[in-house]
Amino acid sequence: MLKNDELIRLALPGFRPPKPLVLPLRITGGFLIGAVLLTLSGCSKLAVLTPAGPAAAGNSAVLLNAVTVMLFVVTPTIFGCLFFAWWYRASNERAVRHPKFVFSGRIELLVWSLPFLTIVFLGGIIWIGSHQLDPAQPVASDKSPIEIQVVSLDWKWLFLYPQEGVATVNRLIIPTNVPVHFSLTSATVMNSFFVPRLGGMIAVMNGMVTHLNLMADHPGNFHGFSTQFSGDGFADMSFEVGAVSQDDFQTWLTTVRAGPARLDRAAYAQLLQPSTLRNPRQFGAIDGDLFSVITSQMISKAGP
Amino acid sequence: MTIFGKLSWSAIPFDQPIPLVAAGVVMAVLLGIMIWVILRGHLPYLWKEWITSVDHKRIGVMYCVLSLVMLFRGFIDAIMMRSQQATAFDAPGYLPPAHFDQVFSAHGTIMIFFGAMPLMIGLMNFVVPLQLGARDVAFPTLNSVAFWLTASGAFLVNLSLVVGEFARTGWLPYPPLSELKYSPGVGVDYYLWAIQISGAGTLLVGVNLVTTILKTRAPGMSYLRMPMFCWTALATNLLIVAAFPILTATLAMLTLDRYLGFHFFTNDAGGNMMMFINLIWAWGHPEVYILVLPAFGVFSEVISTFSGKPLFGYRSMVIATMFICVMSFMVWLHHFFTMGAGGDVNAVFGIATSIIAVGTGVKIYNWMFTMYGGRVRFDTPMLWAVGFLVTFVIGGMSGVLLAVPPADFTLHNSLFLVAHFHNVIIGGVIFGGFAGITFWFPKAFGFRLHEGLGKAAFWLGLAGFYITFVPLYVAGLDGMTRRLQHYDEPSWYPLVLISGAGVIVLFAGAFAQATQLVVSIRRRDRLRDETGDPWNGRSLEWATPSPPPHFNFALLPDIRGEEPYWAVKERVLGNWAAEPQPRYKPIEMPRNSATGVVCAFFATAIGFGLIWHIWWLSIVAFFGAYATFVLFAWRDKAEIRIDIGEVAEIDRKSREELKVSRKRQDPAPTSRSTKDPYRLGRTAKEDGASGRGDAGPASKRIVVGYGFWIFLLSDIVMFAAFFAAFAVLSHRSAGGPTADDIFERPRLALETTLLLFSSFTCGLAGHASDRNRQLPFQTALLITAVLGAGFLVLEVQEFADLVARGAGPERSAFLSSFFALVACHGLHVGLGLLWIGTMMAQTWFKGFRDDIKRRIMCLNLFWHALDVVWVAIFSIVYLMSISP
Repeated sequence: MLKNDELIRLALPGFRPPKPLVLPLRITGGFLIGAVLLTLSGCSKLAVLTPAGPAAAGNSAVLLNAVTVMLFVVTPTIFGCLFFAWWYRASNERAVRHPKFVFSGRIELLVWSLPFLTIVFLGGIIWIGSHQLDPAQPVASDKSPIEIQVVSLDWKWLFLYPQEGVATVNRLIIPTNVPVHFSLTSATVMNSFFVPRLGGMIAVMNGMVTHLNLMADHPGNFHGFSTQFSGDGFADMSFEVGAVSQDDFQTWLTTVRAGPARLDRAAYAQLLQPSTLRNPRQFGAIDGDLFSVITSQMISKAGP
Repeated sequence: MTIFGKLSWSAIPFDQPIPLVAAGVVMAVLLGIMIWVILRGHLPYLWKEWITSVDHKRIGVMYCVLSLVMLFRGFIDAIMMRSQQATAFDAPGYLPPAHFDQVFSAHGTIMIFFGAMPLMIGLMNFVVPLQLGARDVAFPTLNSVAFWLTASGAFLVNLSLVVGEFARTGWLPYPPLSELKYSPGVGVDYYLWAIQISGAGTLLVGVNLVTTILKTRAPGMSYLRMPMFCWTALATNLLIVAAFPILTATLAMLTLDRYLGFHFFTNDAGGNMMMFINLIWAWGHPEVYILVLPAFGVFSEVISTFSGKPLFGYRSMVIATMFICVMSFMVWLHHFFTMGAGGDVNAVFGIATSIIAVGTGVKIYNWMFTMYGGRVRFDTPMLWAVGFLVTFVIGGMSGVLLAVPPADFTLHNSLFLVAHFHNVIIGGVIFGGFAGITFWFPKAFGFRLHEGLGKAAFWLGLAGFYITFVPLYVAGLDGMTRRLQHYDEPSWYPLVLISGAGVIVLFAGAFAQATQLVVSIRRRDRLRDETGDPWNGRSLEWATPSPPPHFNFALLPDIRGEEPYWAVKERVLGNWAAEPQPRYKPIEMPRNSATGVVCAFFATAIGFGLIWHIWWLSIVAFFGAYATFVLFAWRDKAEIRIDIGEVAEIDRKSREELKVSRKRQDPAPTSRSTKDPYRLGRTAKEDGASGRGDAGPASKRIVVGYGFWIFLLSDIVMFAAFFAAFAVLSHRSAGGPTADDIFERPRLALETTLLLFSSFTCGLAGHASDRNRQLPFQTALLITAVLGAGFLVLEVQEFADLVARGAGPERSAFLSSFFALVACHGLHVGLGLLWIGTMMAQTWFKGFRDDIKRRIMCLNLFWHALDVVWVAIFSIVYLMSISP
């Protein structure tokens, strides 16, 4: 059994300079800490940790909270492992050996309850976070959300604005400080829709509609893309997100509506052909309720 | 349709220099090795001592060799991926998408199925029987079959480099991308058949090792005296038995979609691709623990040995292992939190996932306290272990982070995820594999590996790992997703470059590893291990000479000590030295058999034929494989007998060597107090008492029965996966006929009656065989066969009627799932008929030999299990889906 005096000796050991053998172990430890610090100090610039909207802010807050909670347990564990390995090295004459110390009820209680309590705490974060930040959960706002329908194609993104009657490909324009409700489906294979600075990702699947709620806090250009591998053109399946003020949004709508392009069956059939697209496209009008037709799998059969 | 199916000269990529040159080099090397082997006259030795060997030690070594070769192949893929991304910032790089996509798919597939799995299976195969005090695994020939099937799968995957292409869908072929419509080439087919064949091998390993651990332990080796490695091996193999059938069923469904136009996962006719993702991860998550649990076992052995202490908190460790084993089946949904299942579902699975970390945390702390108060020696295996402790804790932390759904919403499928699973798989499984190889190498070959080069390999591996993957963590936090052939985000570029530099360090590590092997072999005389116990080990394998004789133990060790490890070894060694004239008994060992390698040859041909639609080849190869098994079953002598004189001679030699070298080593025997407060095993009162679990290896009939039961359980799990698919799809009739329209009750009643009655006659046949009565036995079995055939005829009629009415499996997802489930049962009945015929012939010609009787018992179990499954199909599929 671990006695008190031993614990004290454990806590206040008079270290001798480390032997060359264990030096590399310490270098590794230092490197790890350095890496963690580097990661955390770089947080201000990393896309996932630089939210531009409430959903992304919530996600990144949960992420950082969870990391902090775990670091409290993980850091002493890593150091404990390295310390025990180093201190009880065979060549250390000061170390007190306990070759028969193979069980201690108190320590067992500790090693089960420590991780368990951490997980209980983390479980709270998980439970609350999962509910509050569920992608289908509307963003809190006094404005009513605008509806955007998203269709993933091989290998491009089609955005339909049903209320506004316009459509774009590979470019998403949204007004700032207005919640956006996305309904998403795929005309072909599975994809995943992700704009890191605005919020979490959501799967996009054929014959099914998933929902995502996002909002941009301030104007800006963000990078959006697919995170689910979907074939040879996957790397080009990215899109620009432009968050613009509400006035600019209205101006943009007017410009698009004035354009000649119309999203009819022929135009959609052309989009369905597997291809990557260098330049975004836009359509001033949409024929019928294209999204429901795609969702019910009626057009996709005519595809490739 | 030609005689070679889809295969033509265009399948060979003459226009793509990279795979062509790579394949050329590999073939030249292989050819060179083969010519060298033949010219030097090594072929007979290789054939007799290795290829046809059924010795668990040899097979374990072959698994490890296969794994090392495949790890190298997968590593080359990794180098290609990292160098492609390093050159593809705002540029196309040097690999076109079609090739890059194959590279990352092959990397994942090869590393998991043919790198990591064989590494762990190889170690378990080699070590577990030695630690249990057994002479071999429960089913040695099956072990050889399993290995060669794995090799066959690895061969097919590598063949795809030269002939045709590999999958371009990632290592788990998510539909609809993997469906015929979006992946029309042979790539996915290569994946499917390679994994099915090697998966069958893995399942056999699982059945074999579970039976070995449960039923062939040495006398006195009760469960709580087993070394930790055996416990983790038990948990792993239970997971294999329970999880691999799900993989088999899932891939079979995808195969049916691709080959016969079924609609399990298609976009049209009611298919449901989400079901694939659920099913594949119902296998995939336990698979993670199948890989890492044996590595945990290795570390338990290594840390305890090199700390000079028994494992701290042994019982706690056992509980934690089994806890992880069970929990790993309840968390699969965390692989797709981003599918929008809702807050409740995500939260429950997130919490369940992080609860697994409790079990892992307990293990980490117990290893930590094993070092506490010990005398820690930093030999290479221990370095890997300490490196693992640090690395794995970090990987575990990033894993728990990904189990928090809101965090996962932003990190899923990113390079953060890639960094996480490489962190746990490299830091856990690969470190564990290398620790294990260095630790047990002297046991296998009789000499140690070079220490300096081993340490160099460790430090390079550790540094290379961090330099490669820490930048990927950061890139993931910056939103970089995985599997990008090119990108134009400037902030990712430096991270990708650093990661590429890390791969160079890792390559240096791999080089050190290879050099270590070569140098050690050249200096083997200086590195010779004469004691059989180079590390001052604590479990039974170190009680044997290095390398151990074919039969492992001249006398089965009798385990009675209070401490399961150390005392056991001391006692065994004590006996060894003290007893002047041990009472040897003749030993019966299984004869070598070419069944494994021949059967795998045919399996490769079946797979190749199916991939390229060369149907005749598959059919011929199937009957070839069947004939191989019949030939194996037909042989008269399954065992060789090693006489007392020979056993005594071998044992005397090794004991003398041991005595000499042990004297030289001068081990200070630890004083064993009679009242040890820290004992782990049984109490003093129980000591020496022979109760349950003390009796030693069970009789062959029991062992075979157990093994077959475990196999049947796995078969039932496979049916359960088909049942699950039916449950999901039964209402997706896509406007076609529903259950009400197609099922005919009279025919069903007749089918069921026939099958139930056949079970009765099969039981009678078993009864007759117990009494060695040939005529009643043959009659009963004949009636069984006729009834079974009648059942099959009715079933085929039913299928033909349905297809004729336009209600075939290609009509809707509902019909697909119905046909697949019922036909899977029908296929079992068909195979059962083949078996019955073989059994009748064999019994007629060979009489009621013991091995034949055991097979009759298995046939009985199989046939009754078919009945049970049919009753489930009848009531769930036919009765409950018809509206009353």
